Amino acid sequence: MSAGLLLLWRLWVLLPGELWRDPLAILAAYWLFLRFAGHTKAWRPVTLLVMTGLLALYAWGQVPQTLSLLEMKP
Amino acid sequence: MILGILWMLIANAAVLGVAVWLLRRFRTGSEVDWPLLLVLRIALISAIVLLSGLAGTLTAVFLGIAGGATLALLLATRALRPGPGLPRLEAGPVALAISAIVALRLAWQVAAFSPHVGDTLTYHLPKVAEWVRAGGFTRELGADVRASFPAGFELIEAWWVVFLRHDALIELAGIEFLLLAFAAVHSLGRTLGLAPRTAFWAALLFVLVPSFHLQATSCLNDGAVSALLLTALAFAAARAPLPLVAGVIGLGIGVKPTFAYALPGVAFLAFAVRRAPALSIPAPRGAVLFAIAATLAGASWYLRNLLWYGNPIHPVGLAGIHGPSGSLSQQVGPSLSSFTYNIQCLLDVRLLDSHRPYGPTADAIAGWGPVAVACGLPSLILALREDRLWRLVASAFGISLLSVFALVQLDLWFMRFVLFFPAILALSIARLGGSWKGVVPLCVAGLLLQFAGTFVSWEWRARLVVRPPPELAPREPVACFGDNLGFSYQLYGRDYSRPVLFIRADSAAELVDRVRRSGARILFASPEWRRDKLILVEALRLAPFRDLDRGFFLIPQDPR
Repeated sequence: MSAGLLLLWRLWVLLPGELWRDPLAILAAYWLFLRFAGHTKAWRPVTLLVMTGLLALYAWGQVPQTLSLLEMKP
Repeated sequence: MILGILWMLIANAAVLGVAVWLLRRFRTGSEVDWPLLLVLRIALISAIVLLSGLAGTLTAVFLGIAGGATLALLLATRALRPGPGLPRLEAGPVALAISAIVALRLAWQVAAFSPHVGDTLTYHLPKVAEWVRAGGFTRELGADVRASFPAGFELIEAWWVVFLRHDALIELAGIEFLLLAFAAVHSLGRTLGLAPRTAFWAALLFVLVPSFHLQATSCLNDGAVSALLLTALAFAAARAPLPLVAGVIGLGIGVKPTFAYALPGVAFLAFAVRRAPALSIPAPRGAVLFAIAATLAGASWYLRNLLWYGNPIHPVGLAGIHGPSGSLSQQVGPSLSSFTYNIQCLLDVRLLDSHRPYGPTADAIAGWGPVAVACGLPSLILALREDRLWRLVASAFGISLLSVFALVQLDLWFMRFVLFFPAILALSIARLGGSWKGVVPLCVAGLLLQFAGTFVSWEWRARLVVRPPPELAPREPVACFGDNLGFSYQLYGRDYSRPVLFIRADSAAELVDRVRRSGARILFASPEWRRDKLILVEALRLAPFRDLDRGFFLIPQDPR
């Protein structure tokens, strides 16, 4: 229920092209997945997929900042 | 210097000895004892510096001799004879190796950094410099009106500078609280059912959260607030006696009012777990005394402000406090718009830390790091689905987060007030990693990025240094006319050898007169408020002060 409402909210406030890089939308979808298929064997690969996606999104923004802090050009 | 080091070692040994002695009276026999020991040490240091400051005995010699006498008493009465010890901290070889590397780097950071964040140079530390120079508390706190904010963290900073009369070790105050946070998260993990080694990982992951980690060596007090809040949550979750929780709350309120903003989460947790078995201690009456003493220490700043200014939260009024631009910089009371904007800003802008490198003020970022965000958030969802106690503890964290969001203004730095929150994410990822090694490579990748990004902060890279002109001799007094951006702490010198004479004036003529009567040859002026800028411009027209560049002026001798 909460996950569904969260996802609906993000669908409402974001453009369709922005959804794939919105961490909250990703987490809400993941939560929904766990609600309906959390008991299946798929939860581990899906969890890894979600974490990898979030890590990639995070790194995309922060790695250039860290490199500039360390005075290393990306 | 050698004698100062000796006094420092003796006094620290004495404080640790008394903390251990007290712990034997308050010990619970659980992992709560680790944060309890550290919080007792912090409370003792706070009390010692408070009382010494009031008595005018805040000197290395007095504290060293008093420490030596206390140590002798402890040994003579065999108060420290072997007794029940602390629960063993268990860690695997990899976690231990990482801890050693982090500890070495923290030692380097303490040695390499000097105070550099604007807030600390402007209104946190000038009062510490005044205390150390005077050997006790002073009426002079600095030029910035915010200098009268609660100074519980500054008590610990004063402890680490008074012996050497130098600020080389000032960042150790932050390290004390980093260790406290480590112990609190470890204790919370054990209460939540994590295995000892897994709880150790959770604690390690939390102290590596970028903004929290850099806070420890920044002289800012938000890390201390988070550490004390985590301790209160750990005590409440484990059902430690209420006076111990109250003592931590007393100390926290004395560090910064934002601590109180997060308390609804602690109250919720204490209520939610009220039917769980409670921990007992050998001396419950002693714990009540601890709670009273800690609350008095925390409340002392509000009492002082009430006596001095007629307002316990001076300079904040009912309308909040406004910055030099005229906009509201700190609100008073809850605000629905702040609540909404802060949540929106976290979710839409800050969470992915993509706008700035890491820093202690979490400027334009959340500063939670990739491990907490990428691995911790999905792990938290998993934990919430499976365990009721996790749901209660996570709810307490969420309530504290939302409560702070309702009470602080949206600005570039608001995320530093909720640095405690990634602890629940660190606990969640440790829980998942403890049962499934598949997530470990992702955590390692995130940790590497965090470690690389926290050698120095962007605030350190962009720091401003006030360089006195050659005309100003060492130890020579300097007059200072500045407010928000005075950075006046740097004028004292790292060994506090230079007196700083703060000049307050309501008109240009008054400024000129007070500068001349101060007896100083050099004036440092860096006002930020429009009114003070106009006064300075007019004063420079009235008096032939010679511009020495970078805010310094040579004051001609008074012909009278």
